Amino acid sequence: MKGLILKDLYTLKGYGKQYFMVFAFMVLWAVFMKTPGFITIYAVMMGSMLVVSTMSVDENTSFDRYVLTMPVNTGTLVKSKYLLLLITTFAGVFVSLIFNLVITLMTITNDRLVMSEDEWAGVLASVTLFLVADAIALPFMFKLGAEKARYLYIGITLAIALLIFGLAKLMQMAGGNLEAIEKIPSLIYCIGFVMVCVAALLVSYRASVKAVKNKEW
Amino acid sequence: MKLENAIEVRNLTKRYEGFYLDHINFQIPQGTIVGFVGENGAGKSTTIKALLGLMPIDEGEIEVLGHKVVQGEQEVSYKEQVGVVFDECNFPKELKVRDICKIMKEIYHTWEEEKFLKYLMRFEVPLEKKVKELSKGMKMKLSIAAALSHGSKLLILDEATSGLDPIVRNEILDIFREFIEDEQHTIFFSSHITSDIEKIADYVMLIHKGKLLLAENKDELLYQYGIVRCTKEQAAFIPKELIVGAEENQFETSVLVRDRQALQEGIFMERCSADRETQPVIDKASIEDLLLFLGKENEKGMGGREEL
Repeated sequence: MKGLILKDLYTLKGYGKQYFMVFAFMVLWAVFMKTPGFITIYAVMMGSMLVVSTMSVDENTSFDRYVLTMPVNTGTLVKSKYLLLLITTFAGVFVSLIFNLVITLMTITNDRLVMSEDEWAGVLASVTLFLVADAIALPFMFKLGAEKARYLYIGITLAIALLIFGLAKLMQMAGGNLEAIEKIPSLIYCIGFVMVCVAALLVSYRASVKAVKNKEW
Repeated sequence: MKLENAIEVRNLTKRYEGFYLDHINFQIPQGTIVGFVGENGAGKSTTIKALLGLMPIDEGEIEVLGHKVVQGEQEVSYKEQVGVVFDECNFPKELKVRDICKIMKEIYHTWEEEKFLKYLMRFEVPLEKKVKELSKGMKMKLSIAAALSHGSKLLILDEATSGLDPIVRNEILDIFREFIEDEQHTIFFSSHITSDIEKIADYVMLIHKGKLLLAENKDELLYQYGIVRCTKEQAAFIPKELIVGAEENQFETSVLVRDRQALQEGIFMERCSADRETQPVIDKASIEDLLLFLGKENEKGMGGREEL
């Protein structure tokens, strides 16, 4: 497992310059557009998408087939990708926190240096969105290959975002009280998000293991 | 535990649309080099994938180093002793050679870093280069170095020398010869470059359109089988039981015979000399000849042999 994670991290390091350039461009764009909040979401999204990139590399070089000729079973191969997903997503969270801190220090629009509960809930919401999208997409990636399932991943992320947006609009149109939802303590949101993530990843992991069981590599 | 066979395959069957790996049976004795020959799409890679547990099979049983291979199994520790090289380098191209050593160290309990570094030095593969910066020959040497650096007892190579120039191929064949000096070591390698197989294999297995046509000792095979080049009339004198296959063109008839010696010592030569001025020529058959003739005959429905 450690070897597989190491391989993925070295591979991502190899593409580091490209990722850094894209991220730097997004930061400039966000600063220019005065939407620093966008970077919080973007960093998490980028982190969560890195696992897709590593699967794509594995597929292109047939590393996944090769590694199964080593003392590595399919369960370990699948597990390593889920672990990598958590590592890179939380690395994304870390980057977004650093970015928030830097922006706060630079603009001094607030008299505080720590994020508010609401901001934390916002970060957690984006983590949940992307982790759930990954959780849905990963079994398909294992089954169909990362290249084919890449678009599915983007589609799933958009679909989830649209679903949430659509539900909120529907509630508004039906005269629902959105303020009541906003009054729910952030801690409850956070616990809810964590539970959704854990459940989605567990179900997804089992589906992925099933997907590779009879796969021809 | 002393193993007699490094690989045992019984009734291996796999059906695809338009292709059928047909009840393949063979054993590979420990301490041998076995060349697995066949045209592109004959079933070599499918057989190797089945040996490595990389695909579900329809029927049959496979044992590798005494371990029954089941696709998707959890127990894979026997693979510590199996080195595999495919027809291309499977390391991600952004990895540095040095990183590969660190990664393999975490994957194999039996990883021998010093040995790996020695191979790299011998092959002149630079540690600081990325895989994408290496030539095709270098990449294959890197893959072979990795396959040989974890106490492997069995090497399985799928077209590992294809696409390489003769000098690099020769270097690689030398490495295989060194590896096989230990009598517990075994090499099973597929190739459509029959000259490589003629150079180093102890046994040859021929596969054609999913059927194993032949599995025999290479030296005996090359000693016994012969190609007779003669006229159509002379070919009629060859005893039917010796003929494996024949090919005709407007100038001559080529006949593959299963016992060159018997033909030379029999009445065939006498009858030919009595009949015609031009004498038939009997050459040793190459593995390529065997593949071509046996393949054609198999297509005609005459079948082949499956024994080692």
